[in-house]
Amino acid sequence: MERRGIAPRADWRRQADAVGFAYATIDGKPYWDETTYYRFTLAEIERDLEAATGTLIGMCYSAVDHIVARPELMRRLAIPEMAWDMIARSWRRKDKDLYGRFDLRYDGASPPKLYEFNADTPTALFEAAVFQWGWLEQNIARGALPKDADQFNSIHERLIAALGGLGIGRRMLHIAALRDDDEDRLTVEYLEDCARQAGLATQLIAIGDIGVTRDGRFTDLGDRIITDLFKLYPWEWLLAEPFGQYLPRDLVRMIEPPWKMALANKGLLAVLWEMFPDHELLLPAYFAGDPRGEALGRASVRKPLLGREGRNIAIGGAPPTEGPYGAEGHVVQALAALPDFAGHRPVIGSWVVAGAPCGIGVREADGPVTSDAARFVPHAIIG
Amino acid sequence: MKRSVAVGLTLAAGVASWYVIAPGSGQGEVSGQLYTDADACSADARYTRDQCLTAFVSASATHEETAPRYATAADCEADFPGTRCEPLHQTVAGAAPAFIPAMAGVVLAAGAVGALTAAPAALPVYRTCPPGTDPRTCGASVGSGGVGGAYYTSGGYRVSSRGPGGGVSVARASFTARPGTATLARGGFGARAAGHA
Repeated sequence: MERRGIAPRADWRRQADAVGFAYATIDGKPYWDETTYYRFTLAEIERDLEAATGTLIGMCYSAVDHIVARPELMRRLAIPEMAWDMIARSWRRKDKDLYGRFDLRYDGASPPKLYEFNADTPTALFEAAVFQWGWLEQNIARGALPKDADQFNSIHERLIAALGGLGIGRRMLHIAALRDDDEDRLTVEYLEDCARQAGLATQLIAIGDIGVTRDGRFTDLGDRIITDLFKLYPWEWLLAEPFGQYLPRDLVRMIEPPWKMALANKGLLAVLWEMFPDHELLLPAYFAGDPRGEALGRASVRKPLLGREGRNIAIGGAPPTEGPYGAEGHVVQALAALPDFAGHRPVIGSWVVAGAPCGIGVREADGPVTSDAARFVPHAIIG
Repeated sequence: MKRSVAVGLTLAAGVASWYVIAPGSGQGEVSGQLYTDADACSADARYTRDQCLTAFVSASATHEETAPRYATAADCEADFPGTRCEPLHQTVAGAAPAFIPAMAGVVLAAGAVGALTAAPAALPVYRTCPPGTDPRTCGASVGSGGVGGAYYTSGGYRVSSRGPGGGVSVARASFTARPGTATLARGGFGARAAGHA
């Protein structure tokens, strides 16, 4: 694993505009940064990252089994009691999940370590699946990368296959998100594109436009019943909002399915450590208040159970980063600082689609916490 | 190779299907053609075979969502004499069973939803007996492939023949109004601002 400089493509901004990648530049600063890239060997990808991701998703599925059978853990994860039966039912039914992203610490020298799992609303998808892929192809074509350079990235193909395999058939897939957020909008427009390529009939809908009928079914703006709903909106928010009361009736097939709530929670880190103590891919983690976690002292990171984008993160007893999260409780995880590549701090976002590892995206921060300001940097497999 | 063979996007920026149809916003009648199957549609020079197949797939999906729903096949067939009612493929295990009438054809109307889509709008229609007819004789005719009965939309709008040329017309509201699924409220989701991993 190596950080290398490379000349950006002259027209990458035009290309970003053309596909609606509006957040490639945020407030005048590059979010998509192709002045550098990370070079991995095939062995690093396959032996370390791909294998670790496959192992981790298997451990996560075991954790769901463990959690849904234990009300005390559901409570500990701050999952609302109204959702417990729905979660257990969806797990027993084997409702298919679509995707997720593990954030891994990796430096090319030691085994990957799991920082966290974005199991419900992972983003940075389009840039990983599509824009990064185009970067590699075009740099090979112009001779800036070797002809046999490759990339760990079959995300696009896997998404189409997975969407086609959800069993939606001739029903319509509704895809909901916050429409006025650039990143969310592009994410769902991209997913809609994939769903159509999988042969599905689709309709996008703003999350706030969803309606409800007398008998608790959801409708779109054409008053069509929503039978299958992908939502890029956290489960815990849906449940807490006025229409959340209708969700436990199971009148709509949700993607991600309810059981993903057992994983989309930093408490998962403590559950995994309890289930797989001293596993080489895990960092020690405990629910806040556990003396073993408190004993970590300054060599620890405190994370909200339901936090996002690096908000409300406290490292080694320092004041936390800003943010609105933490009311539901925290976990304490042993500190494993981001690796340092000439002052840049990469984290590996490792994607699973339909349970299979299928690609990575690298986010680079300048400080110790990866926030939404971290740049997306492409990668290549060379050697 | 560890990467996708091809990453093709069919949607150029800005043409994703966010468009919304306001319920009942349309006025008046829409002209179109009524076809009982995709072959009949293809045989008409107005539409290509691909357009016809796409329209029938789209109409079938709409059909599953919007067809009148009955708790029993008997109730369904009472309202649609001579029509076979089929169990609705349920999304969710354990949901109450429902029966819907078979789709009898599709009305294709270019321009029914304006410039929103280049594809013709495809409306599933059902065959039943108009008020004032004897459901037994009418139903027997429908069931045996005769000329009895008339075509209706899921909302109960009658598809009217407009004479020579095979054209039909139907209430514009058919393409938007969804009977039996009246939305009581909207806006119960989405209170939280953007911001997630």
